[in-house]
Amino acid sequence: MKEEKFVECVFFAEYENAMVVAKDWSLEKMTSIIIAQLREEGPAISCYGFFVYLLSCWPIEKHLAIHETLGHILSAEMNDIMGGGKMTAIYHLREALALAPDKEENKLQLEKLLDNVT
Amino acid sequence: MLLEILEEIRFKKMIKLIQEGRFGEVWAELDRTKTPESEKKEEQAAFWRKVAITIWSYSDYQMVYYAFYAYPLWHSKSSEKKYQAHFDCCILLRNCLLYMPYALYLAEYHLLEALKLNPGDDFLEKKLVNLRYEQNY
Repeated sequence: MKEEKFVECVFFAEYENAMVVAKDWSLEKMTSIIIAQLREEGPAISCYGFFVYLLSCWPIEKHLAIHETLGHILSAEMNDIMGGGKMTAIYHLREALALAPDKEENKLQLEKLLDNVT
Repeated sequence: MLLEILEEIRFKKMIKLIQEGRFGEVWAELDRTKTPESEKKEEQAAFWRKVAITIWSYSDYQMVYYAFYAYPLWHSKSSEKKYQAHFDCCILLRNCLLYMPYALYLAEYHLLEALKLNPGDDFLEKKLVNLRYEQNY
């Protein structure tokens, strides 16, 4: 029931209400619920907007996790669902690398993506 | 004539940077301090109009442009820039990305956030009424 309410709020871009429902949930939990619903219902740009909302109101310490999540889901699951995902994933991986330049897995994923799109 | 050619080259360079996800470099270029404040706004408005046209020609990049316009929301502490980012995102979604499912709801979110930063703005209030009317059709 809570999960249904959460995705409804995310899809209709009522992000503050979504966060009231998702109080204490991890980013991973929120992401997996959103991805599952996108698979079932089809594309919704408001789901990407939810992560934009998180970036705009969460402290910078949490930005790395958000950029990494977007780098992953936009190049994989969400790219199948929403067009232009790979190019947006490249941006978020660049941001993740700016915040943590030594993270090899992000470097590799960015290189892989750049090879695919150029 | 030469100035126009140079401006076109500069614009194409910025579009390429956006498409490569190098948003910070483009915003830095647009925010150059040597440009007077009044001209800077006009320059950004002109840039926005050209980007809007470009979006139609490169359909693979539409989400990238949304991310580009949202960028100041997590990179700037200035409420004026945040207000402008919310407003630009709303216009982009309403005018260029309308065919994307749930785009109008996301546009409304950005408009409501812009209103929080500038309460009582008549222009925004009217836009909100129009958006909600469109959502019903």
